[in-house]
Formats: sequence, C-alpha cells, structure tokens
Amino acid sequence: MLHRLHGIRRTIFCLSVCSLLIIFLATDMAVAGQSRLLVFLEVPGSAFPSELALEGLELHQPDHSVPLSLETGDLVAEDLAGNQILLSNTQVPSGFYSSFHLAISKITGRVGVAEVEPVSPPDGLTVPLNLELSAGQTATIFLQWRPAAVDPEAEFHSPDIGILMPVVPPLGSLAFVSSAGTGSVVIINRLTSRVVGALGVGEDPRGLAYSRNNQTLYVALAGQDAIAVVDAISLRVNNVVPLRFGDDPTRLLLSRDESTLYVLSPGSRTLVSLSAWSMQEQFRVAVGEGPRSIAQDPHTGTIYVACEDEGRVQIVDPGSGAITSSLTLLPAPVEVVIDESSRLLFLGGSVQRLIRSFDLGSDESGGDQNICGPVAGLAVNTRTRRLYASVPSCRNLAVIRPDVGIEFGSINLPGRPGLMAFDQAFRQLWVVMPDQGALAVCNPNRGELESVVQVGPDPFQVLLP
Amino acid sequence: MSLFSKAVKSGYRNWGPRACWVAAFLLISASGAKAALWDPFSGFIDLSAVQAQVNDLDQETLRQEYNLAFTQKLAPWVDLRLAMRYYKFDQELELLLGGYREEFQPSGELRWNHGLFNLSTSAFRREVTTSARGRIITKDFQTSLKTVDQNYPVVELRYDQQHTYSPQLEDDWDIKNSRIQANADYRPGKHDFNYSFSHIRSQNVISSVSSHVNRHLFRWAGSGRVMEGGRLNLSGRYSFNYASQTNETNDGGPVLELAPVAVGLYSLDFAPDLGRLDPRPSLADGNKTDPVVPLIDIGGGGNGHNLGADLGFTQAVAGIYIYTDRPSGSQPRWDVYGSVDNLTWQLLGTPSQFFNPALNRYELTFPAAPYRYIKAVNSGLNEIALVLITEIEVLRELPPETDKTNFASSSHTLDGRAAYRISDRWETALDASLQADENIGRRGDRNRWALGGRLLFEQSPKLSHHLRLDLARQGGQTPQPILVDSGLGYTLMYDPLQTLRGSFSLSDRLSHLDGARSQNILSSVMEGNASVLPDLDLSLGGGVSWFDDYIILREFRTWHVRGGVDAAIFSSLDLILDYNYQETYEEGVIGPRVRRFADLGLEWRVTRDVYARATLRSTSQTIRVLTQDYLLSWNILPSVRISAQLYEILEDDSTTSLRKSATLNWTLGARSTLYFRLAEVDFSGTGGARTVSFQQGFRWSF
Repeated sequence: MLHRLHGIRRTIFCLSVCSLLIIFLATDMAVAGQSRLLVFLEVPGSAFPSELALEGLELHQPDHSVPLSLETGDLVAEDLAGNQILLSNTQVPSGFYSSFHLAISKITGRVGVAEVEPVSPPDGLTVPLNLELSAGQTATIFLQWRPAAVDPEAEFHSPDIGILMPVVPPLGSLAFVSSAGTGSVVIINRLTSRVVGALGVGEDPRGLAYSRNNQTLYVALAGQDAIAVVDAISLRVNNVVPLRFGDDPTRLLLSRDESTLYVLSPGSRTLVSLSAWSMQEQFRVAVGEGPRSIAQDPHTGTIYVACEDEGRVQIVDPGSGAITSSLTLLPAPVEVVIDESSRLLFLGGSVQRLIRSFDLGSDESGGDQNICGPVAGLAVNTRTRRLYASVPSCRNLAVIRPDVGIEFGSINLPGRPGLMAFDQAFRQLWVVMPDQGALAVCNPNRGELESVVQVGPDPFQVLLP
Repeated sequence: MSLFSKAVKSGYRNWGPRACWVAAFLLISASGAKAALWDPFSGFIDLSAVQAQVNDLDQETLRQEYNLAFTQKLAPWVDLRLAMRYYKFDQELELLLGGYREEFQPSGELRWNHGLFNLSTSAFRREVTTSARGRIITKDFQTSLKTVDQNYPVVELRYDQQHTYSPQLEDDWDIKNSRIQANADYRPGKHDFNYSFSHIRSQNVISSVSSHVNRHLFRWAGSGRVMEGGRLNLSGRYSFNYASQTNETNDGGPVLELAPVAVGLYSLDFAPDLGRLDPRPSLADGNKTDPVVPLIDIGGGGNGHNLGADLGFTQAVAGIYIYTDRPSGSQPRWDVYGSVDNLTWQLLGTPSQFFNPALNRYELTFPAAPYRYIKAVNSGLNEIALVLITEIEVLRELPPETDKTNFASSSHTLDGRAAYRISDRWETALDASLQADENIGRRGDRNRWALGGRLLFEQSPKLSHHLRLDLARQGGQTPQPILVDSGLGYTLMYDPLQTLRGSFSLSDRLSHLDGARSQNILSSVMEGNASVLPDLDLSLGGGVSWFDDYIILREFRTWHVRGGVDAAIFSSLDLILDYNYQETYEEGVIGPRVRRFADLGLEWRVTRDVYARATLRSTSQTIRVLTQDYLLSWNILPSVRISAQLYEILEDDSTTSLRKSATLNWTLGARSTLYFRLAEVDFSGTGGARTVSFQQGFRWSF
C-alpha cells in the first residue's frame, strides 16, 4: 500500500505514522480493544437439589479485574438440570485473563433430606482460565455446575463449578443464529440443543444465507451496511463486503445455482444482487417502501419481494434487474415464502391477520387463512405440505394449509416467536424468540415444544445447514 | 512494486515463489505467537485463488485482502481506532479480457463511552479502481449520540454523509448523500413507545437531480390483563407513518429512462450513411444472456455491424446499451446515427462510451436528439477474439415538466385484540384492525378494516373445539375495487392418549368483489399422529376441498392422502419416510390431475466426529423430478476437517442440475487457516454452464 504514495508524501506519511506509534506506545495507557464474552452455564441431567445465589462475576488479569454483567444470579439446580443458560454477555477489554471468579452470596443444599444453608467460601470461587482475547473477538466460556451433597463436617461448602470444553460437532450437526445483541453468530449443536461457540461478525447481524457448494455462511450486517462471509467449516470470518451508504441490509437469499446473493436493503429500499464468488455488485433495483422479506421461484428464478408499506409484492426479473410486475394480495405483506413442490406462494401480513396463497403456475389466487395475529415468520414443511406461521401476539405457531383454508392447531411457545427454519429432514423446527434471547426447538410431527436454547439478546434468524 | 506483488502477479503460474510464500506463512502461523504480542495492532491477511474451467474455457482468479487496525485508549472512556484495508481481485480469462478490482480504505473511529451516553464518530475514505471504470472515491463521515439510561426514554441522534465521485470522470460520476436521524424509545412496563424522524438528502450531480425525504414514524404497542384473575387480556398496536419526498431538477438537467423498442434492427454495412436495416427481433427481446441468432460477432476485427432499433415513434434518444455474452474490449469505437425513415442516417457523433464488465454491456450516451430509428456502428480492433451480441436497449430523455415535484404519503394502523377466559373450559377472543393510507398525488387513498372472533371449548383434557369467524373489507378511491372476505372455520383436536393425537378441520371461505360473489373454497382435512414406540412416530391423513371461481367460471375438486414414518433406528441413525398422493378434478377437463410426492431421509451420526446425511425426494406431476442431496462431514483432527456434498436434480431421468464439492480445512494455529476446495457445478442440462474449479485459500489474523 505504501507504493501508492509518491516521493515526499510517502516520507511524510511514514514519519507521521511512526511518530504516532512511538507516542502512543510510549505512554502507559491500558490497551483498549474491545472484545465480547459470553458465559454459559449448564447443569447435568440428574442434578442434586441445590441452589446458588451469585453476587457477581469477574475476569482476572494479573494486575486487575474486569467485572461481568450477570443475566441471572439465582440458580436452582432442579430447574436447570439438563439445560444450558446464558450467565453473562459483556463487552470486555482485549487481553489475557488468567482466571474467572464467582462471588457467591448464598448456598442452599441438602444433608440427607434436610435443607441447609452452609457457609459459602469467603473469597468466592476462582476457576483457572488462561483466556486470550483479541480486539473485536467474541469468545465463549462454558461452565458446568455439578451440585453435590453438603459435607456437614466442612468449614464451608465450595460448589463444584468447572470450565467445560465443548466439542464442536461436524457441520451437519450445527445450527447458526444471528444475534444482534452480541454482534455475533451463535453456533449450536442442534442434536444436543447446546451452544458450542460464538463468532463475532460485525454490527447488528440480521439475515443469514448458506451456500452448500462452498460451505459458506453469509450474514447481513445492518449496523455497518455490509455482508460478512463466514467459512462454515472452520467457523472463521473470511471477508466483510461493504455495501452502499444507508443500505441497512436485513434479509438474504442465495440463488438456486448459488452464483448470486440477493440482499434486501430496507435502508435504501433496494434489492441488491451480488456475485457470490467475487461479492461484487451486479445490479440494484428500487423495490419501494418497507421491503421486509424475499423469496425466489426455483422454477423460473423470479424473485418476489414483500413490501409492507407499499402494500404489494414486487416481482423482480433477475436477468434484467428490473421490476416486471407486482401482486396486490395483502394490504401490508411482511413475509413471503414459496412451496417448491406445489409452486404456491404464501404471504403473511402485519394487519388483517391473514395469510394468502397464490399459485405461481396458474397465476391465480389460492385460498387464504385467518390466524390469531399478525405474522412474523413463515416456513413450509414440504414433507407434510403444511405452512407454519409465527404469531407473536398469540405466542404460538399456527399450523395451516392456506390453499384450502385449514388450520390444524398451534404450537404454544414460552415467548413471542419470530423467524424460523426447518432442518433438512423436517424433523425439527427452530424458532427465534427475540424477546427471550432464545430459540424454541419444536417437533413439527408431534406438534410440541421440545426444548429452549438461550443464545443471547436479540436473535434475528436461525439457519440449519 | 513490492516483492510480494511481483511474486503474485508474475509468479501466477510459477509454483516456486508461491511455495516459498506458503511456507513462510505456515512458519509464521505455526509460531503460536499470542495475539497479545501484537497489541495494540490487530488485523488479518486473506488470500484465495481459483483455477476453473467454465465450459472448457480456463479462468483464474486471485483475491487478496490485507487489514491492519490500531486501537488505543486516549483517556478514560475514550477509545481510538485506526484501520487500513487493501483488497485486490484479479481475473484472467482464456481468449477473453480479464479484469481487476482494487480497493484501498483508511478509516478512523473515536468512541466516548460515558456512563450516561455513548458518542461515536467515524470516517473512511474508500478508493475503488476497476479495469472498466477507473478510480471511484467514496468519502464517508458518521457521528452518533445515544443515551443509555433505560429508566428514561433512550434518545439517539445520528448524522451520516457520503460523497462518491470519480476523479477522471468528474462530470459523469458525482453523488452526495446525507442523513439526519433522531430516535426515541421508551418502554414503561408493558408498553412500548417509539418515535423516529429522518431527513435524507441526495444529490446526483450527473443527472442534476436532487431529492430530499422527510420521514416520521410513531409506534405504540401495549398489553395488559384486567378483571379478576387476569381473565381479560388486552393487546393493541398503533403506528403512524408519514413520508414526503421532493425531487428537484437543477439546471433542467437530463433524466434518462429506458425507451420501449418496437423491433430490433441490424445490418452489416460499412457505409452506414445510407441503407435500410432489417428487422432482427431477437436483438430486442429482453434476453440479455443468449446471443442473437443469427450470431453477431464484434470480436477481433469484425467491424461494420449496424445495431439499431425502431422505437415506433419519434423520441428524444440520449443513450444506447449494447449487451454482449462475455466481457468485451474497451478499444472498439461506436458511432451513433439517427434516422426518420430507416434509410438515410445522420451521424450524431462519437458518444461518451465505456464497457461495463459487471453487466457485460457497452454504455453509450450522447446529447438527446429526436429520432424514431437509432443505431450504433462499431469500428476499430477488439482485443477479444470472439464477442457475441445479445441485446440492445435505448435510453430516452424525460422532458422536465416541472423543476420540482413533491409527493407525500401517510398511513395509520390501529390493531387490537381482546381475549376473555370465560371459564376453565371456555375462552373467546375478538380482534379488530383498521388501516388508513393517504397517498397524496400518487396511488390514491385506501382503507381497510377487519374483524375476527374465536371460540375455544376444552370439552376435556383430551378433546377441544375451536371455532373461528372472520370478516374483512378493503376499499378506497375509485377505481379501486371493494373486496369483502368472510370465513368460518372449525377444528377438533383429540388426544386420546399421550402418544396418540388427531385433528379434524372444516373451513368455508367466501369472497365478494364490488358486491358480487367472486370465490368460494370449502375444505376438510383429517390427520392423526401416533408415537408407536419412543423412537417411532407414524402419521396418516387425508382431505378434500372444493374450489369455485364465479368470475372466470372455474370449478375443481381435490382430494389427497398422506402417510409418514419418523424413526430412530439406532441411537445414531434416524430415518424418515413420507408419501403424498393428490388428485384434482376440474370441470370441463377430462381425467384427473395427479400429483405424487415421496421423501426418504437418513441422518447418521457415525461417531462424534463424523456426520452423514442423505435425502431423496421424488415429485411426480406432468414430469417426474428426483432430487438427491448427500452430505458427509468429518472432523479428522481438531484442526483438520473435511466436508463433501452432492446435490442433483433429475427431470425424467436427465440431470438438469448437479452440484458437488469437497472441502478440506486445516486450522494451522489459533488465528490461521488453510483450505482447499474442489467443486463442480453443472447446469448444462438446462442450457447453462458447467464449471469445475479448484480453490485454495489462506487466512492469518493477529
């Protein structure tokens, strides 16, 4: 890069940079790159009855400590048995940390069948760590608490909490969720419903898309008008591709041949087409007010963009990069999805609590279905040919067949649902619950909730490669 | 030029220097140096290369990215970050002109994280150089202030500005944007208030059009439980959205748009002043991908090609786009002619022209002139041996009717729901929504309202009934039609055992258009699911529906059946089987329309480190489509992982789409990765390309 400056300008530039470096390095200021740390805690399935009240968490460096935020301080072993919770989500200075400290205010345990409150360790509990954090990195610590009976002879009772080294399983067993609250993509073992890692990608990560051919994950970074390209095998960020000023990209769609990445940018009210290999912009087309979601007809390649504030679905021809037509099916469409096998387009709206279907083969409206609230996400189960709609106001997933106007029932959830995704075999349905900072894992065949995975604040979209 | 650049550029096919650099990087990354050693510096180096064959034509690309950042704390709560980014993308093509893209971006950021607020300021200067457009510079500046105390309304103020221009093409590329935003969020209890205002100003120096947009958005959402025991659950939402936009055309400058072409014209003529062009419809058929037939080759020394268009009537023509099937050279010269009779032609001069490699087109612009017939004629040598024409587009200049146009729109949305638990067994809910849109000067106003009612009766813990009634009306300023939808639905849920579940649903929906009945759908579905064993689920179902469209006079009846098995054969092996059969009978059509869907899925967790998956899907309608999807991933070592996948679509036993790849990832150290990928993508079955590629990549961060 230096060769780009010539003659005197190059010399001045070098001297200035060197001077600044010497000045800053000579001062005794603490290094200030920021990193993010997520702390998860889990309890084995068969937990001994016990309770733990935490006062605080700290990371220790040789000469000082860094306090961590505490998501929840009251831990009840029976409630947590077999589960994993997020204990802390904190921004910390980068550097080397030698240990992790838990300040305990109260312990409740058992001696036989009697409930006792033993004396907690006066200095809390310190766990060796040896963690090195680089600036901009997102790191995870996994703790395991193994509650045990209280020894009545002991001066104080020290809870058995240790660092757990999670095993990141092969790619097919993973799920990814974008978490705006942590600026990262959280990595989950979908077979055990456990978080196994987190990858810092940038500001306000939103939509996700996955390339099977390249095992590459694309992440829309709404906070910095860019797309992060992540290698799904090594779980590293390969590239951050800047878009245009004000784009605010939210949703992504990879074309069927995986050669093109379509980016929906509500900030600039455009649909942007990027070459998936070079990540260079091919075209951008203004789609109108409030674009919310995007889908592609696999038979024709035509792209459908639901524009809430326009009150229409814009139809874009990717070949010409232009809007060729529009559908006025719902007053405020927010979610669009296409059933590949039946060539039905399903559209969910934010008003009138309606889901409408449209036959792409015959260009005719199909049936529609009223549900109990506005829609926040749609997913098609091509095995059972059912449509699942997340309804935040009713805290459930509506299971419907809009083409015939049938509602099968619903799956109740502990929180307001958002976007969702099926696994490849349609045996699991993963649903984002943004307010809870968690994912709900449902069995679509039995129509019931199986587990809840805490992932951190403001999750946006989940993807199962 | 640095040694590294020389080695990369000239040593492209020379393995010697490349091997040395690879060895050097491996040594550095294997050193295991802690990241803290580099503080306060951080960054990464990312290199990747691809050797590919696209339809038997060789292609090589090299991508380089270097990132260096410096962070330091200037004072308590004040952080400084400086960064530098360099990116280079080179592409070499057999027989064709390659291209490159180079980016250089220094940036800086200052953050003040006070206990009461966060203040940040950032700026960057991005210089992008491409083989087609030369240098384009973007300067960006942002500043924002945000309060942090959640006990009070959180207020955020933000200002952004960006200037994009080309030093070489100053008169042809200059765009300025700026934006001011103000947001306020307040969440007391179960209520959520949000207000945001934004003012966006955009100035396009090229087209002399400037615009500014003002937006106001206010939202409220709330919920609560009232009455004894919280029997009545109320929730509501209101949003108000107002936007006004003003466009100004400065100096009466030109605004261009695509002109509809009646028919494309062509002739091979070295005396373009006089002569008729013949119709060549495929030259203006909207297809920019396939070459025009008969072929038009402007590669090498192929001159005298007259590419034209008949616009149907006289228009103010100001530009022509000529599309090619591959990247073409920038050396050929295009002269533009206009005619009123497709016989005698007037030379409009040599227009401003360049080749856009992103869209594979020549872009010719010139002062607007009124003609019905327009053509471009090429001359000069094209360094690309073979270039075929695919399409022509013509641009016309819009007459500046007014120097200033303004339009505004507003929208009110009110939504409410009341759910009342009558008793332990009875529950009812009432929904209402209202939306009013005012679109001043554009589409016209539009109003919608909807009402819905639900009744739930839990006859027993095993049996429940759901009844739904919906009514919605939409209308607005004429000529918008008045749409009225009404629906009645019933669902019975029966779970006689914990492992046995069933449902029966009935639905009738009727639509009216301007008071006349337009459509009716009556449907019924029955489904059952049984967990026969702890790891074995069986499901069975079927249904029938009647569809009547009274406007186009179409009726059809559909029935379907479905069966499925979901089993865990072993603790590590899962199997799914599914079959759907559907018949549709249409009034006036002989014989039913039959659809069959069959799915087979296997998921095998061989060991903790090996995962395999296979999915087959067969769809039989007018044609039979079989989709196969296989994945194998294996963590050989904690630092070495491989993954292979195959995805194929066969239509009537012919492969229309095939994608297969194998990837090896080697984590050299805490911050360095090496990868190799072999891939094949074949769409030749549908007339697409076949691409075989070998990719190598290295990334090192510190």
